[in-house]
Amino acid sequence: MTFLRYLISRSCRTAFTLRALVILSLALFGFVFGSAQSVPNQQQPRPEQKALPLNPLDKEDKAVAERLARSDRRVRDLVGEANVRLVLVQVVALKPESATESARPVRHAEVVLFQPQGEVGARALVNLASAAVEQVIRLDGSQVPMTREDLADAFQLALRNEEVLKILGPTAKSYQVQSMSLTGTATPMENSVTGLRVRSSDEHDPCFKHRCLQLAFRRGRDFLSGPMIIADLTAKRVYVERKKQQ
Amino acid sequence: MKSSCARQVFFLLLAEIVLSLLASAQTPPPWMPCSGANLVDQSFPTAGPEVTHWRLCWDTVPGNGLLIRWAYFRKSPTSNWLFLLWDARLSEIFVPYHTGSPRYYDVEYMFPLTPVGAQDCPAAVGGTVFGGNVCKQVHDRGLAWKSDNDVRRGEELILWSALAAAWYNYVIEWTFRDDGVVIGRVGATSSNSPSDPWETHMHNPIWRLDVDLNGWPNDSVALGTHIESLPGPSATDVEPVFTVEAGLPWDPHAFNSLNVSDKFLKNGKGDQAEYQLIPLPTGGLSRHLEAFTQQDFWVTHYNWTEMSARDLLSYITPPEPVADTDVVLWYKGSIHHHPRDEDGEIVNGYWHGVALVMWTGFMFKPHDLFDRTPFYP
Repeated sequence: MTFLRYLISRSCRTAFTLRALVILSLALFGFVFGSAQSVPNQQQPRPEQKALPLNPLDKEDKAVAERLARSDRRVRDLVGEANVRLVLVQVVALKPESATESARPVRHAEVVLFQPQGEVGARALVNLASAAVEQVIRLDGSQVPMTREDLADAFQLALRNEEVLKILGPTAKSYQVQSMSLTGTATPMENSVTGLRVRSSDEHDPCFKHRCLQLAFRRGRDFLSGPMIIADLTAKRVYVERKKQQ
Repeated sequence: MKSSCARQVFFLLLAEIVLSLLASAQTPPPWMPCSGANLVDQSFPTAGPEVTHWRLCWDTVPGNGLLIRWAYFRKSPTSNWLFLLWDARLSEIFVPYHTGSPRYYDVEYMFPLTPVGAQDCPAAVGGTVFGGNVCKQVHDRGLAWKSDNDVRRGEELILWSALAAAWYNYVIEWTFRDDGVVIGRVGATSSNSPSDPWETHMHNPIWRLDVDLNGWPNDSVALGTHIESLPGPSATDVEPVFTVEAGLPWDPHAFNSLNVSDKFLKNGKGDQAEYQLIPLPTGGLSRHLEAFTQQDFWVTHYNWTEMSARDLLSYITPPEPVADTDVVLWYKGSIHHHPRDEDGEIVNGYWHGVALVMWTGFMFKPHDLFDRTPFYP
């Protein structure tokens, strides 16, 4: 309005013209704004937005997806029912069969479960809209990503190794396994143990095929230097490897 | 006097109507499968009338970190929205050490993200923090073009987060520029390996880019290739099309690029539009014993279960046709980390210090998408 007022000569700024201008402009603005609202495909905030296909899963979605996957017969045939670990549950962006503009993705979750005893996993594709498991794929242990539970197992193995205890000294039991918040952010800790997945390129090395994790021990900002501590989760063994200094 | 006033009011209203109608003639924004903070809608320039526009979804997952999904670009307010990316993510970061061991697979552990706050992502550089672990920055990107006294500075939108991979941090960055360019980068930083702090090693990020130019069927990929007629003076450019799935090396002398086209996508001049994946290596690209590291480019047919770079060879065996269909591009970058005193030191048995960020990445650039120079008067 200020813009229009500025352009009108001073002589015209009568109460009448200004009132008319304001009313007409408001009416015009309302018309244009209203037209934009009615454009098809225009995104509008709607209550069902939570369920938009690619929005992150909330706690409830994750619980539903996990429950559906665990109760699926094909999944149970692969990994059993007892001591089955949840590795991940996340949105999967599955393309609709058709590529037409009206074909929209359906909200799907990918659930990966792992049976550590048999080292076998299952990837389940869960349709959250129809509450159905649409596809189940068998995963070898080597294909299953590692989690905090693997790290906790590796740390427990390490704590039973005398050489590791000697390296860690009296603070050995003060380390805690690195954890994350609900938003997937690392939680800062004073003394933490973390790990990286290692695979060997030498087929004679157990870690060529086994699930192996190298441990690292953090105190504040710094990491304990020294030999490599590798936990072989398949063989339930710990290897302490020293390298010559370069 | 009265009629003069009426005329002024009439013409001003007429101008307002014309401007409003022009504004409402913009192609409406497409439906998006995400909302809230996960939906980014950014037009450029950030001040003044809109020219180009990005709309995209992002998400974070443990392991892969920051993903981009469902990205649209609009080259002008009256142009159609162009679908570009279905899913773009880091598939693996493979880290072999020079002595042959260890060999780390940093995306095969469900690593969390590092916290990101106002210090990482200050408002002064156009930063906004999402969820305590993602930063969005919108800011100047330097010169877009210059021609003697004429000049234009460009702008860009950047989304980044950092993977907390044990002693490493990997900064995963996605840039969407005002000229339609997308840049993917990974930066390696934080601590050297506490058990081998002085051993040289390589960080190899491998990206999986599910590109759906103009939608997901009808895409083809060609290998952009420059050939010098040495010892002659001339040169030619050719673009052999991938007919089946394959992995290929990147030859810097051939300026290789992966050129994606859609058979129905042409610009206003009738030229075939493309998006070209151009490596942005820092120093070089590595080769290792593992088969998936022995090529830089891979082209595969879309399959939602094929997400692991380590299994690339099995994905292309036997090779499926990839011409005029739904394609996925893979690109491996490399960061050669030769430790230096600037990285840190051992103090009382602990590694103390951080390695400064080292980057590698790629550019995904439009070719014959615009009809003329964007942002040129």
